[in-house]
Order: sequence, then structure tokens, then C-alpha cells
Amino acid sequence: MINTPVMIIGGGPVGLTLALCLSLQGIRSTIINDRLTTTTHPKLDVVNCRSMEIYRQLGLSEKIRAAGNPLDANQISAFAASASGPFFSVMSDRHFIYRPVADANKAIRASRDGAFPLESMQRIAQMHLEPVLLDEARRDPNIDVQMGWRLYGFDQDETGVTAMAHHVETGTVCQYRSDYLIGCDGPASRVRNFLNIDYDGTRDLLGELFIIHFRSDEIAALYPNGQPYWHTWISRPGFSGLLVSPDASRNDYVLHRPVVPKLNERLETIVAAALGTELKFEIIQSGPWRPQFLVAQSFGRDRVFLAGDATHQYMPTGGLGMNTGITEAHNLAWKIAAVLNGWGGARLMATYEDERLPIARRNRQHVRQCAAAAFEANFPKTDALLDQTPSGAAERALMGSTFEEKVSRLYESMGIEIGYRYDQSSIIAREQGPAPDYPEIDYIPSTWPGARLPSTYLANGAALFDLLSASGFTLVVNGNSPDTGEMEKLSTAATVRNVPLAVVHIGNPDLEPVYERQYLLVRPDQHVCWRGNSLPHDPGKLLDQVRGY
Amino acid sequence: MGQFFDSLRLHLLLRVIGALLSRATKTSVRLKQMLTEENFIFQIRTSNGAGGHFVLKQGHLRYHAGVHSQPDFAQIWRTPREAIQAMTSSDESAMLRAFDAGACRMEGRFLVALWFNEAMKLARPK
Repeated sequence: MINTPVMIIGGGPVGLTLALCLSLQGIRSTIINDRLTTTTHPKLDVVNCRSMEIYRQLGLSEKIRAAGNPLDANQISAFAASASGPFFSVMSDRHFIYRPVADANKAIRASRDGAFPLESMQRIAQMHLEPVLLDEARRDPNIDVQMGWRLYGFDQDETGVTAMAHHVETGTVCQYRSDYLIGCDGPASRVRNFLNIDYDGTRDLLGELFIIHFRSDEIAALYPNGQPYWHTWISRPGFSGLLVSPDASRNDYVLHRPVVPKLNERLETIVAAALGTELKFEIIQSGPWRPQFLVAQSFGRDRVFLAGDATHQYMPTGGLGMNTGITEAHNLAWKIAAVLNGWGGARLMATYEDERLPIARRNRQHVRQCAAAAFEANFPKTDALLDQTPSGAAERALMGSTFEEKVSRLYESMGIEIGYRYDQSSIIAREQGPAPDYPEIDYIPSTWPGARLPSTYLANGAALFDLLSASGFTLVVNGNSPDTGEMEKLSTAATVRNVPLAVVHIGNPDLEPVYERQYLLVRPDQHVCWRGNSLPHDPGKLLDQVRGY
Repeated sequence: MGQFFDSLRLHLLLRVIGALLSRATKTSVRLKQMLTEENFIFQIRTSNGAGGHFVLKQGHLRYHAGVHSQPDFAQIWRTPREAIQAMTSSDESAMLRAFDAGACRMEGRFLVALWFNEAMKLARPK
């Protein structure tokens, strides 16, 4: 039997990220993955802003960017009759998200109001993201990655979990004993099934869609500067689809179709219809898939938890599938580490579901609205769309404006990406008074307890997020006259409880309004758990609440 | 003449759907919950005006024959036969396939269509 503090089932992006987050806090883990290699399918095509912030905390943001779309390449979404035009709309300037990362990150660095994420998104295919994460995990002495092992059962008791797995090729059996077991094993999660937890929601609301992965060295030339747009939505009478270039420097493309091919309809004909011109390409793989809007009824039981697609299945409109999973892993990791390191309280693990289940449901609602918006963008289409007449031109203009009005929400919803809050959680010190809005689209910076701390750069050029503790709480001191006596009391209370506590002074008068209060207590996952203009009279009581004691 | 009978069949089908939905609202917990989620008018009609609409208002879903002037969402079918084929198909993709092929136009809020798809799945006899 192999002993490991944390057993992770599933070595996709979420499982690997969870292991890396645990390692950052000194916790060892073992990952088993029933695949022998990383995926060869492009699958997802974006690591969103919040996930990139998390990867920055892990020291991985630059490696991920190096494996994905070049820093000077666009992240544009466009709407056209085909990849060779005519284009009805090109969303390139209306939001920082469409700009090349190098430009977007300059805008982020120049901002002083906390309204931006610390990192822009990264256009990258899952098949290029996974090797970065796997390589990092394999080089980490805290992580044991075992490919080709499939879970076939587990038992949990008061002190731990015993898991049984067999090798997919040799049939060799192995047992593992761990304090916690986490199912990051995807939509058909065995862990979730063994726990007898179902998804809520109704399956298959949209039937079967179709995806074609192909390669071409000639498509790039259709686009300005030879850089294919990230997304080219295609709509004309008799054809609709989405052409994705997950990385402008590579020749991989994905074509999504809203219907499966008809009998005897050749895939080459479908791809050629999307391109609108004769180009050379090679089809790599294809298949039907069913978009879902499902969230697990529960995120775990006792010592066994779920994360990633095991907790939610979303249609990829809005890019929230893996990215929701990354934030789940980030939330779960510090709590496991706190408990295993002896300072997390008995109630801490239960707050994983309390905090993340409402976010999964909120994100599902957003994804549904995005899916609806993507369909609605096609509604004005008529047979006259491509006519070279004034009415044809007017229809194309209407298609373009409808697209921007509807589909921009898929890309620009910073409120969903970085504005989510855990304000109903029992380990958040709630405030009296009305909570500020946190809409889906616009991100309104707030330090309302439960919110992600707004990100800014300090006068010395350091990003505040880079100064926060990743393995304990951080007291962020905003303003120039902190009460050192009271701060000492808080530090003493933390020391007595073995709670790691760092102190960071902002020291920038122009940033004081962003942070709203003189003191903010920030968790390892960069969420505010308490704020005030004076420190609490009983700091121990506060620390006990926020650590789930 | 064929078109006339197809229009009658469409009316009948919509009425049956209304009855199925009404029955399911009494038995499906999920559908009961969905009734309170929003208010809308969902219309299924043909380009020559045959069809009807479903009104969800304050937790009650009712079917009305005839065309509503301001539906929140509308499917406008080229022919009643194509509407019947898609609505009675066991293929969940039939609706999108018809839209893709130009047999059906849509107007309004697609979220209403998603609501209706879910309600139909819950109401359809197992």
C-alpha cells in the first residue's frame, strides 16, 4: 500500500493544478490518471484571466504563455460569412481581452483602480497546456504522477481513504491510503459515481454538436499579418459554425458545427465551406459531442471531494469549463493544506462546497446566457445577407452589430471571471449593510468580504498579488498610520494558533480608495475574509472563524 | 390541401404538447421549479401564420392557438410539415438542424427556447 497525504484521481489540468497548489503549501500528493499520455485533442482554447493569476501564484504563467499564443499575437473574435470573408464584425479594440497579451498586460500595469485582473487571458490549446503542467508536476518532489492507472473503488473511514487502482495495460493492482481523495476525473467521474452524487439539471438540451480538428498551413494567410483570429464565428445562409485557432503560431484549427454531418456529407466539404476558399488542410480527428449545463448536487462527502468537470459540465460558451475547475482547485488546496498542516479547523473542508457550489451554479447560468447569445447572433441571417446591394450591406451591418451586442459577453465578462464572491460562507466575516453589486459582465473592484482582492501594482513596481502569502493569511495594511500594537496582538494570536500570517503594507495614497479599509485579511486564495478600519478587539476569535475552527 | 392538413396537424400537436406540459407540471419537481423561473411567451408558427403560443406567467403555463404579436421567442417554420417533423423527432438535434438548413427562423431570447427544450424533455412520455 502506498501512503500519500492527498490522492488525486485524474491528471488533467485541474488535477495537475490541484497538486501544484498543494505542493506550494508543502503538501505531497499522488495523481493517478487512466490515460497514458496527455491529450492530443486541442479541447479548451483559453486559460482565462483568473486562472492565469493562479498560475502566476504557482510561478507558471510565463511557461504557459511560452507554450501558447505568442505574446504579440491577437486574441480577436470575429463574425464572418466564412474565414475568407466578408467579415461582419471584428472585435479587436473594444476590450483589453482581445489585445495581444503584451499590450493587454501593459494596460493592466498602467491601471490604478483595481479594475483589471493581474494577468490577461492566454489563448492556448489543452493539448499544449497539459504538457507544461505535467512537466512541472513531474519535476516537483511533492508530486507523484502515475499515468495509466484507473481507480476502481475506495473506502473512507474516520482517519482516511483507501483507494484501489489497476494499471490499464498490465492489470497490476495497487492500493493507496490517503488523508483525502479528490476526484478530478472529468464528466464521467468515477469518484462522483462511487459517492452516488448526480448532477442537477437536465441533460442534452441542445442535442448533438460536432467538432473537427484539422491542420492547415494556408489558413493563416487569410488573416491580417498572417495571424489567424482566435475565434471566427461563421454565419451565412445554409452554414454556421465557429472556427477556432487556439494558437496563432500553430497550424491546428478546430471547427465547431451546431449539427452532426448528414449521411454521406464529407468532413472535407464542411471544412471547405467554413474556409470559403480552396485551401490545403488535413483532418486529424472529429466527432459529435453533447453540450451540457450541469452542476453536481454536492461537491463531496467527508474526506472525498470533487473538482473540475466532476462538479460541472458546461457548454464552452464563455470558456468556463476548465477555468471554473482551476478556481475550485485553488479554493480546495489551501483548505486541505491548512488542515494537514494543523491550523485548519474542523469546519474548514465543508466550506469548499459552501463556497464553490453557488459559483458553479452562477457560472452555469452565465454559460447558458452565453450559449443563447451565440445562437441569437445568427437570428438576423436572411437569404439576402451576401447580396452586393445596399440592403445586403445593411443586413451585414446588422449581423455585425448584433454579434457585438450579443457575443461580446462570452469574452468580456470580467464580473464572472474575477468578480465572484464567497460572501455567504461561514469562514468569511460578514459585514452589516448592503453588499455592493457584482454583475456578470463588468467587474466592479471591491474588498467586500468574500471578494477576490482587487489587483494593483504598488509604487515600487511590485504587484500586490505577488506579495501575498500563498500558504497562509496576509494582513494587507492600507494607509500610513497602522496601529502597531493591535497588529502585534493579531500576530501573536496567529502564532499561538500556528496560523501563518504575513503583513504587507501598500503605502500608496492613490490606492487607498481601491482597498476601502485600513486593514484587510486576505486568504491564501487571494480572497478577502475580513476588513476594517481598526483591528478586532479579539483577533483570536476572528482567526478562529476564518480558519473554520 | 396538404398544407391545410399539415397546419391542422400542427395545431393538434401544439395542443397535445400543451396538455403534456400541463400534466408534467403536476408530477415533475424540476418543472414545477422551472415554472417560477421567469415569465415569457413562446411561439411556434409557420411563415403563413399557422401555429400557437405558450404563455408562462406567474407560475402558470398555458397554450393558446393563434399568433401573438410580441412573443419573447418565436420559431417561424417554412412549412407546418417541417415543424411537425422536428418536434416529433427523437433526434434532439432536429431543431438546430432545421435552423441550420433554413427550414426554421428564430427570433427573440434563445434562453426561452432552452427553457422549452428542458420542459419538453421532462414532459415527454418515457
